[in-house]
Amino acid sequence: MNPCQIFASLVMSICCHILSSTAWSVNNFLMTGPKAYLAYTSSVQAGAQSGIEECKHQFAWDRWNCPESALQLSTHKGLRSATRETAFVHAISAAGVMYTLTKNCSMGDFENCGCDDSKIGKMGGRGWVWGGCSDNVNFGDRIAKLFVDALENGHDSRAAVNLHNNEAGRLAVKATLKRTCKCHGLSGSCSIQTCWMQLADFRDIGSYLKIKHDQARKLEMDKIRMRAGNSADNRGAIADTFSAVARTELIFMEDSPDYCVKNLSMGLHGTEGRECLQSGKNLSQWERRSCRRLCHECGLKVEERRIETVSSCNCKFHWCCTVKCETCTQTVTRYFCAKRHRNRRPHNHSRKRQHTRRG
Amino acid sequence: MRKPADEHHFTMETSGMHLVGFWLHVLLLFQLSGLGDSASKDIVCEPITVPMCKGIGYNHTYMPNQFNHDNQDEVGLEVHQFWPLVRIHCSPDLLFFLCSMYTPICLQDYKKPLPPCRSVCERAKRGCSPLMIQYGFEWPERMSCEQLPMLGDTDRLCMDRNSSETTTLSPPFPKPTPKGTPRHRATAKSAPPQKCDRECHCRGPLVPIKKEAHPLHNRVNTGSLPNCALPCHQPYFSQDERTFTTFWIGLWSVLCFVSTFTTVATFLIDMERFKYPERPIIFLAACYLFVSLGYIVRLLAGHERVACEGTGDQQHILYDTTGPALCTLVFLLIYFFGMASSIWWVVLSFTWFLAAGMKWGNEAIAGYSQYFHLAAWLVPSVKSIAVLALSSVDGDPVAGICYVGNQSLEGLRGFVLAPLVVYLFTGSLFLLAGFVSLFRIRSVIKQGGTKTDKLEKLMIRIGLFTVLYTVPATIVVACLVYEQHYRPSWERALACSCPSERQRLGMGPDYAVFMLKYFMCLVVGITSGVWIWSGKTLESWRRFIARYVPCRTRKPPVSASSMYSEASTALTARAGTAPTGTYHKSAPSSHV
Repeated sequence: MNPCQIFASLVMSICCHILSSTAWSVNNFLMTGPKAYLAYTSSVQAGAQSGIEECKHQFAWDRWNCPESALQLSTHKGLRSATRETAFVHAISAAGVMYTLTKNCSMGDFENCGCDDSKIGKMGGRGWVWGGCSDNVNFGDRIAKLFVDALENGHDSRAAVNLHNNEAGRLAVKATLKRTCKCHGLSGSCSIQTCWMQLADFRDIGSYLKIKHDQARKLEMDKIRMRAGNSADNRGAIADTFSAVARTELIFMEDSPDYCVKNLSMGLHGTEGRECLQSGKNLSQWERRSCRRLCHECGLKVEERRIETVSSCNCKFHWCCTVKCETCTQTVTRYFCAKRHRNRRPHNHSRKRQHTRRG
Repeated sequence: MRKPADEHHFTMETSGMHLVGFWLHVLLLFQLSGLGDSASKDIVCEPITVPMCKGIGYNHTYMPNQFNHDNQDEVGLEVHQFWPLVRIHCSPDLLFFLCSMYTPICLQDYKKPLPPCRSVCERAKRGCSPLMIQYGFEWPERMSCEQLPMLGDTDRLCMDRNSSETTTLSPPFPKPTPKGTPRHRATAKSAPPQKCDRECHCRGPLVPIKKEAHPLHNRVNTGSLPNCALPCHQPYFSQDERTFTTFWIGLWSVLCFVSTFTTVATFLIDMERFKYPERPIIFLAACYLFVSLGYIVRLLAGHERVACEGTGDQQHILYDTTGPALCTLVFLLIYFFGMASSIWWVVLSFTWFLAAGMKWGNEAIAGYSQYFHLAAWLVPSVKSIAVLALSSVDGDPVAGICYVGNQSLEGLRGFVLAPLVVYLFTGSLFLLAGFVSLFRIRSVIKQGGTKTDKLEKLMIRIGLFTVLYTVPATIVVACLVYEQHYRPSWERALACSCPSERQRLGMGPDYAVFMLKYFMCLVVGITSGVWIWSGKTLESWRRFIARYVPCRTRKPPVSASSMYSEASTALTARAGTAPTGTYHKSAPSSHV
């Protein structure tokens, strides 16, 4: 469903572009518009998809776990929410699109763009110079802005918030760029190095934005001026409010609902039936407390289920050169949130439970 | 509301010419979507095309590798630089190690990294690193073995032929050809670069004392290792440095001998000429004569015969010994007379202080000469006897002499460093006091007229000589301080590290410091010769020769010479009534 939704959005975006043109002829559009724009469509689509997957990973152990409904950026049903989580979705989607466009540009997938050679040959530091293929983030930023911001055609504060969060996502890609070097020298020595700027792992960008999500700020619009609607006064109020927020920070306008409870009208499924983590090595503190956060604090209990899994184990390298692994069947214990059953039919049982509660 | 309007508008617009364009876009979108799907960015296995790495056991690799090489052409350019090393067969594992790093193995059914094991890297490094060091290269840091997984690590798999359960022949290296040569090389190099383990043990060039019957058993340790002796020669210095040491010591000791011999001979033929306070210079020169003789004995007998014991691989430096005659002889000559020369320098500064500062006459100072001799000869005697009694004589692995403190820090500090510091300090005090007094009474001397010019010049000459002595003495003390401070770490490094590491970290003694020490030990003897450089020396020798030949017939001239000598000693150039007057004047000063 996700690709179809985004695909539909993209198609509508392109059609709107066509409709908005007044002096376009069919020949001109086919010669320039389609080639220039259709070349990026698959990258935009793949980038948005990677953003969705990263969102699911970053919020895997949160009450709000990036459900499908949150990914319908423009829907005809109901009102679009402007919560903290929505801000993250906008940012990670924009980052994903920009990331994929930039990477495909460096890979030579597009004819009209290539490496960022603005620093080629310049002295970077002691013992290293700029060279190689620096990722062209400016190109990715420009095209991503063109595509993603086109989905916002309103002028109200909600649209302004979304555009701001889109930009924050793109800035996250720039903020996580890292310098990578290659050694040159006789017999493997590193007497001189050539360095270039390279995109970080997309996971790093997701983690970066997750921190921004936790630090997001709520906008307090002047309610009186908001009544003006889509008037000049409203736009002035929006401009005044946004000038005080850094471009790298996420912002939202509405408080988040209770994600413990199922609310199908808002596309929320609640935490019942969700899996959580109890124990295990290499678990972070956030993961270790996921059962408390998802189950206990939502009024549910933790239910154990034993599941058999088949995996490769005892891999060994055999000279030369193969790796042979055994197939192992393991019983692993997984934990899920379940409702607490309260049966009041037997009178005696009811009394007994009350007694337990008192104690 | 807006969107329904848009939809309506869209429906109206699509009718007509735009309809064809719309479907064309959709068609292109689907096509591009398909293209996008096919362009996946996962690891792609590709056949190995680097000629050097074909046939190493696997055929597929992936790019970029860990060195950020984008394609195999780039890999080939860099890895081919190692071809000479591979060709020379310094290690049978080098080729596989290099290729597994530069063209990493790519398996379709195993996606985790599969680097070579640490053992493969260490075998290649052990075989080839010494050869690389000979040509000025170090083992590349980015191929360090510590970052590779260990064989048998379950979390990180790695490649090594030893992990194979079934014994299979390695295709790149057939058994007979490489095993012979590498083994021979390994055998040849087994001792020096014993794979650079950091465990402390009595390794070469240290000499282990294994037999209990050995006289040094349980009596000697190096770097806190028991039953471990230092070799005959300083292990930190190369053969060229050792040869130069012999030349260096020989040069200065011969020069010292010639200079001091001349001085002593001149004194013996004309003893009246050198009176106090300058007479200690003669005795100081005599001491240096015997010190240089000690070094010359070492040169004639050789390093091994004087300072070492044992034969072949078991030859080691002498420890705590009193037995060998050559060793004891060299020790006595250098130590006894060296210390005596220091005390004579103190006596010189003291007598100079009496003459220049306290205005004593030479007769008054000479009256105490027996005490000066007692101190100058008795104190070194007591110390030398103590060293011999304590069996503290040991060999010097650098100079090849026998001395005290070469293998014992307590001996070095107690018998060498402490006395030298005391002598240097005491003599400097006398010099300082003398100069202060000299400046104070300068005006009084000048009031005496031209008669005081010679006296003042003599005082300044003696003072200058005495002050200049402090320079080499201070340098010797500094060298000894440096040596006693760092020697434990030098010995520990011999036991706990390997030669290449020691050479790289520079954890050995400074060769120049030792050469400076031996030069400064002998330079005073050389410079003491300048004392006799004057016309008087020629006159003394001429008179000596004339007096020797016609002994009988010239008794009156002898008397005349003695009279003239007295006049000369009185520092006056006039004859006749002047000598009598001068003598008369000096009597009151000596009385005072």
